[in-house]
Amino acid sequence: MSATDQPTDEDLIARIGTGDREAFAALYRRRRADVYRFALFMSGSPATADDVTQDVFVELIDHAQRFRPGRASAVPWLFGIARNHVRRQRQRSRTSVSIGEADTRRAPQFAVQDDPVAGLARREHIEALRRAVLDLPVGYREAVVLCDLHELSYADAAAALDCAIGTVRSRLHRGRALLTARLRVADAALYPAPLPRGTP
Amino acid sequence: MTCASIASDLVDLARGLSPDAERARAIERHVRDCADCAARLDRERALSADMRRLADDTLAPPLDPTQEAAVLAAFDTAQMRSFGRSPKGSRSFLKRASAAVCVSGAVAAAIAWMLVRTSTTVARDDGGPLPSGSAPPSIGLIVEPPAVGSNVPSALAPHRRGNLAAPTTPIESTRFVLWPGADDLPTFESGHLVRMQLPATVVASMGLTPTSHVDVVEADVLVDQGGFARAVRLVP
Repeated sequence: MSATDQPTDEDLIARIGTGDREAFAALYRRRRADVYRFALFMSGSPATADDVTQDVFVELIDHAQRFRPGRASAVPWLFGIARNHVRRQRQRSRTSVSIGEADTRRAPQFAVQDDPVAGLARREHIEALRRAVLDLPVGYREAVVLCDLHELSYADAAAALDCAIGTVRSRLHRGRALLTARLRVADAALYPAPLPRGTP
Repeated sequence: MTCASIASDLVDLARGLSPDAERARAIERHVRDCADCAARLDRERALSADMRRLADDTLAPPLDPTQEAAVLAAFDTAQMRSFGRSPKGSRSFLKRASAAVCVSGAVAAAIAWMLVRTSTTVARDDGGPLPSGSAPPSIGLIVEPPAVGSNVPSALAPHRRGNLAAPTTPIESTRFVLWPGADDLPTFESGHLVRMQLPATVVASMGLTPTSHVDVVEADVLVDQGGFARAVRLVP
């Protein structure tokens, strides 16, 4: 079967609504990683990401029939469910999330590095960025995670967040400005301060 | 064109989004002449590149067969529970389930009422206690557990009136079927069997069909620890 023969996410969700177990298994295998990464970026905790991923697909079982393909595509819809579960987890724990306090039972997975030294520097830099993302206010973090890390369009991110496109855009821009400011402290060479006006 | 007016465009450009051609040319001219905006565009591009690296470097753990099995088990459980669900969704299913529970409760109450009424008649007619080992069942299905195979109401049968007074006819035993609105008894939970006589119309509504035309049939009702009926079978 070629790639073009694969059913779309929307097709799978429609079949899940009719009780198709194979469709459910296929969607789980296809989108589990995306949901997990979204939850991990939002929570900073692999354990929470695991829980949220399970919760999202369990909720999907009962709510597949509520999916309206014309309103949003499947991935933003799943992210919208995941977002609610992350929020509930946050309300339950009532703890501030930072990488230092995050669950360390299983560290996030990283791609294989060819050059250990370069890989270490790169990893440190990426870790600084990861911490900066986790330290963003939730509203900005959601926009950054959806638009920059998951590369959703403004429209899809707006569907996931249930807000206007303009709101997503402004939150993303504000979030990126905060990220740049925080990374400037961590790595002045990569993120230099703006030059004084008129400086050549 | 001012620096503030193109701030959002610089972010979009760094993310690979392009404005329309005319605006793109105007932004390009502004950036060429404005060191602040040129530096900002560089920073935004560096940030976008780092975000892509962060995304690429953050992988989900490999598929865990245990987790997958748990999710699929949840799916199976949901499907079993919604066997009578309409396309409207789980809310409709809950309404149906509630209705089934109400109906089964009403049936059980009616049966209990008839049994209690019959036992009262027996006590009045005989003028003494019931024969040993033939204590009438209590209200509903919360019944003192007789041993399986005992025939609790049989001593009362000659005294029944109306439809319940019809003599029972031997029938083939059947497999257990779920009591309306009930789930299967979990494997870790014990239960007990209560043998009783039920109107044939009641068991027929559960999908059990007596082999002969009778008004009353003998049945074993599986009662869980909470006193609720879970399943029923016809017995010879």
